[in-house]
Amino acid sequence: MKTYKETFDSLYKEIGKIVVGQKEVVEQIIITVLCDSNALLEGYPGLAKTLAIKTMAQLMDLKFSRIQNTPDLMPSDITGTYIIEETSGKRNFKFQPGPVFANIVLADEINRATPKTQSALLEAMQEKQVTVGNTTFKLDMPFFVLATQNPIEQEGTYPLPEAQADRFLLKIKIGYPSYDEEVEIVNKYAFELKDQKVRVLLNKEHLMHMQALIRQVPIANDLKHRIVDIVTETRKRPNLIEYGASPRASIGLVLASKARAVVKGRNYVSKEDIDAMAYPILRHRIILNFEAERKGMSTDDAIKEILNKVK
Amino acid sequence: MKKFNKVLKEINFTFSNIILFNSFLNALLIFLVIYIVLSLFDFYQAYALVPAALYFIISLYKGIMEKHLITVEKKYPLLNERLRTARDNIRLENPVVDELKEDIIRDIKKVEVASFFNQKKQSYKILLSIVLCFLIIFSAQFDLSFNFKDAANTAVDFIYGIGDNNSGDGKQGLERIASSGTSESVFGDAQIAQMGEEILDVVIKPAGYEINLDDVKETEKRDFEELFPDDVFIETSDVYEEKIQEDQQELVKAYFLKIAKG
Repeated sequence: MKTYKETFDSLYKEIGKIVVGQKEVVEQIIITVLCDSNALLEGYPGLAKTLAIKTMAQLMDLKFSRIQNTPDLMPSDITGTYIIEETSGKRNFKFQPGPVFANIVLADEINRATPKTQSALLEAMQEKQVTVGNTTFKLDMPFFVLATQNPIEQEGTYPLPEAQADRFLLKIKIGYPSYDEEVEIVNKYAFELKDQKVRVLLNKEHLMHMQALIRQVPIANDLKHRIVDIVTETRKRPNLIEYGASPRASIGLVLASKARAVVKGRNYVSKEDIDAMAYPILRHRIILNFEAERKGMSTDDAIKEILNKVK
Repeated sequence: MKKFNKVLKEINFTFSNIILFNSFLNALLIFLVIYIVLSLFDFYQAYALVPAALYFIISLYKGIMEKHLITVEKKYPLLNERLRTARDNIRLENPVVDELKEDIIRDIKKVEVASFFNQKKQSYKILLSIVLCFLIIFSAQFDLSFNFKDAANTAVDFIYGIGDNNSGDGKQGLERIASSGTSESVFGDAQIAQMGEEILDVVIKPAGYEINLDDVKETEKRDFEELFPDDVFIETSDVYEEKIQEDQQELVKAYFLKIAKG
């Protein structure tokens, strides 16, 4: 575990050359990657969401593609389409893969795409495959979708349906940097036009080995029960929560806690991992009721209340 | 895995011993305290065994049911959550779990049994039990007891004594009880042993219930003449003499004969 910890430490160090601060965001992106899942990043514009994901792909030597979502984006723009190709006088249909055929797909401002286009990502996210016409194409492994959305400018957007939101393992909230961090950002990017290069620290094989290792991390029975208690508690609070989290959240919380343990250099899951991962796991899986919203509560407040209740 | 199993067994064995010792010591203390109280109030002392035995069983059961691994984890934060995790995944065999078990086997060496055993507290308990034992011996030696029955009688006497202001001897309540000597020792009031101005020198010999036939002596001849004063004489009591006139004696005789016949 020590060697893994050293790898992650150097990953943070390397990413720190490009992205100032946002250590928690970077950590949660790594956890998503280790869990072989997808994440939804939410934050105001200009908070280095795209930059962080792009840098991550470079560090892991993964094929990166970006989809800028707009209301007129079609599903075939994501999955790919058949084009007519003329070779030696013959016209054939040839499949032209879309941007989804990559290892890390950044779906920028996903809530700007229409539900039809958004759902094109569903199969890719869940089944790691794409079906065009009658043909199903397996995606290259590892495969992750990291989508971003802005909490503002909601006009003309299509909020993600619950079914799709549930497929994202984590909803990572990106906050503003601290004053000192912002000064550092200014110093870094406002003077020189220097293209920062990062070292490749992980490769596909190494990453997939780590993904397999995550599932082997042991967890105590009482902590397992705590996870289920937390998730089921979201369904027992009609005064606060209209819709609770599904069992997929329980699976996700166990996996994410295991991944966090490895990132922190531990060979066991701790209560601290569960408490830290409960927020990004649950915040997009619960829907507050009107009363809670009227009180000005956020989903994070509701999760905090649940965590305090479940000892 | 075998090594880790051994570690778990050792933890359980050590804790069982500590719990057994603690429960026994506490039960002993309970027994001694209750024994003293019962003997002071003149009750059957063997009853002290009941609460002590009950405590011992409950305490032992509770102690054994307790989660020892959590106790170790609380005392040694280094092992926090790790012991439980390894125990729950004892059958699992993969590089991560194996590494965890090896780490625990290495770190468990830092655990000291003495840290779970409050030596100061246990020493005080042992000392206290010794003191209680001595107290029991002394109370038996000096026959220290507070008889409830006597106390109740005294209390009743006391209450009635206060109520009856015109008691015959002219003494009232407390004064009468004090002079009665009922609350004195079993040897009685010294006044009882006084005859006139002379104090009797009485030796109480232990009573023997066995008769030794070999030790039977001839009856001692005593001359009782000295015991009877000169003016002592024998005479028939007046009640045995019927005063019937001579002329009527024949009539009475005939009457009784007639009754006898008929």
